[in-house]
Amino acid sequence: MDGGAMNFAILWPEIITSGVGVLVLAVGLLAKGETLQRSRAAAWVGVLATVAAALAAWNLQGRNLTAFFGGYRLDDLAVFFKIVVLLAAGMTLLFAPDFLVRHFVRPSDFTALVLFGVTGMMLLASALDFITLYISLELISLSFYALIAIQKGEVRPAEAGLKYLLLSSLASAVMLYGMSLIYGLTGSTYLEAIPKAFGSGQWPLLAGVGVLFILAGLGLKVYLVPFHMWAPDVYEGAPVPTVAFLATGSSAATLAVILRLFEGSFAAAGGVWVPVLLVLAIVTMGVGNLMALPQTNIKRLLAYSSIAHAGYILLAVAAGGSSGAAAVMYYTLLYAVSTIAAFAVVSVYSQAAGSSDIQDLAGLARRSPFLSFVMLAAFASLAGVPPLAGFMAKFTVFAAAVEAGLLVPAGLGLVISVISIYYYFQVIRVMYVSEPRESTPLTFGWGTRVALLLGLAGILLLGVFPGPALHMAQTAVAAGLF
Amino acid sequence: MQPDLTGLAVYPLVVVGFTALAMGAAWLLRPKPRQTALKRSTYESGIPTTGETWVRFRMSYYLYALVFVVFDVEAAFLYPWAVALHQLGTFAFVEAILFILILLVGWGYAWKEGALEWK
Repeated sequence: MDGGAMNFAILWPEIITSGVGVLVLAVGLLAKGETLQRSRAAAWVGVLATVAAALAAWNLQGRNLTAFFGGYRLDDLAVFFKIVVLLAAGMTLLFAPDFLVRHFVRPSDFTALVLFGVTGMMLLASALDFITLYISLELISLSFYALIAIQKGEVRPAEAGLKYLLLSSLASAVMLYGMSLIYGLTGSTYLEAIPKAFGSGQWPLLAGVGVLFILAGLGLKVYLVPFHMWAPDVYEGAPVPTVAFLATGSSAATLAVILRLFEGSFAAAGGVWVPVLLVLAIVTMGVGNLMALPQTNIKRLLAYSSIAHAGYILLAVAAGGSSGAAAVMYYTLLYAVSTIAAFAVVSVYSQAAGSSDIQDLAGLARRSPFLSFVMLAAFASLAGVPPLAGFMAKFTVFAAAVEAGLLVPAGLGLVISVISIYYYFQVIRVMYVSEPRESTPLTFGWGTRVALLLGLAGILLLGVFPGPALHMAQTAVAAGLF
Repeated sequence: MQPDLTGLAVYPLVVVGFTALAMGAAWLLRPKPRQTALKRSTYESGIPTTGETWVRFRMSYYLYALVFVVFDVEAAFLYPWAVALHQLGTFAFVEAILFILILLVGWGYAWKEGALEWK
């Protein structure tokens, strides 16, 4: 296969993040003491690395080439998702130190693991064969096993870490089985060889089974019902910054590979997976939104909200076509920005309150108007209120579904999404109307402030001026998936 | 392309057939002494076992195993590299040095964190 030779120049974003990650780990070991100043320095170095990597990725736009003997694809789709995951990592590292220092976690360890995780995510967005794909996915999972259980000596994070380890391994096993079936039938691990091997004819039954197994394995990572069970428990038990990164970065990278596989390699087998994915997407929306209603813990609520949003995104995947793929990309970006902003607020208030119950948000508007305004914007955006980013994202998804002739699923999705307004605004009501239990103002560091401002700016700008991001997504899709 | 998989079907037959043949032959040929309690114990000779076999192993074993794997994999990669170094040139040399450096950081981390101390 002619897939281009070794081309290290296109790996700059990954080289920067992995190199700085190793460096932070090494320097963190050499430096003595647990001072606040040093720990913040490690996180800021991580933030700078993500910014540098994002600039490097931005510079690689418009290349659209395949390298490393057909195993690695650098196109605008990959660049888009690389920037999204770098944004998620950077924002997480901005607000993480406040939380970490309070919970006696060494921020250099956290920073290094986030940088390794984001390296895996960027590689996953570019993976063009099953082996690169699997190794990148494992790099992400390994980073998260440690990130989830990083609070040494505490039971809940350890429990969450073990749950993630077990279910993630299960997902990997199922996905590998699916890959082995496809490999057995095509004799190639390259994604672009799959459609060529089967031609335009009917796909054999075993290939269909393989496709569905891969869908199940990847579905677990993006909270596709019925593989979503782990999400609420892991969200509740894991440290807040880890959850913010898990909810956004991990699912964004997985969606990149879902697009490449299902809109590219498995497009001809649409008859097998589209009906399954359509039904599961609608069930995912329904389960996510309905189960979010009775939640009393904000982290569990955000977990079910993530599940519901996965439903919308997968509806766009099922709709397919260039508008479906562009909708997936735009939605992922908006979801990442809104969710991280919400988690940054959760991180601040849950440290002060010592719990993450929604009741403890009471009177947040009077204790910290800025925090509650960011939360309001994030939740209104996730609920899809115009003119915020969430509205445009939902609009593009449902428009893509209608364009693909999926009128009934689009209608069902619209009706289900109305439910979400109730639970998001329930939280906003507690923040603005309920009497505060304490009146001490909430304090937070500069990093958190920058993360909150970035989130707010993203939510407003992506909503009012969706043009540039949408245009970037559409050009990326137009350039083709391999 | 649809590879011919019928050859693969022979393998399970051979595996099952050979196992049955070997065990059947052993059963036919071996002496059949009277079964006593001693004869039926797990180890016919040696010290009698004590306690259950389902015991918890210490986490420390796991840490040692992980550190061992780091060096095991390193060695597995470096053997072919060392053999082919003359053909591969400077680029491969730099790459392998980078690989070793990254592993060294991981090893240093394990050492500093006390993974090599038995607690």
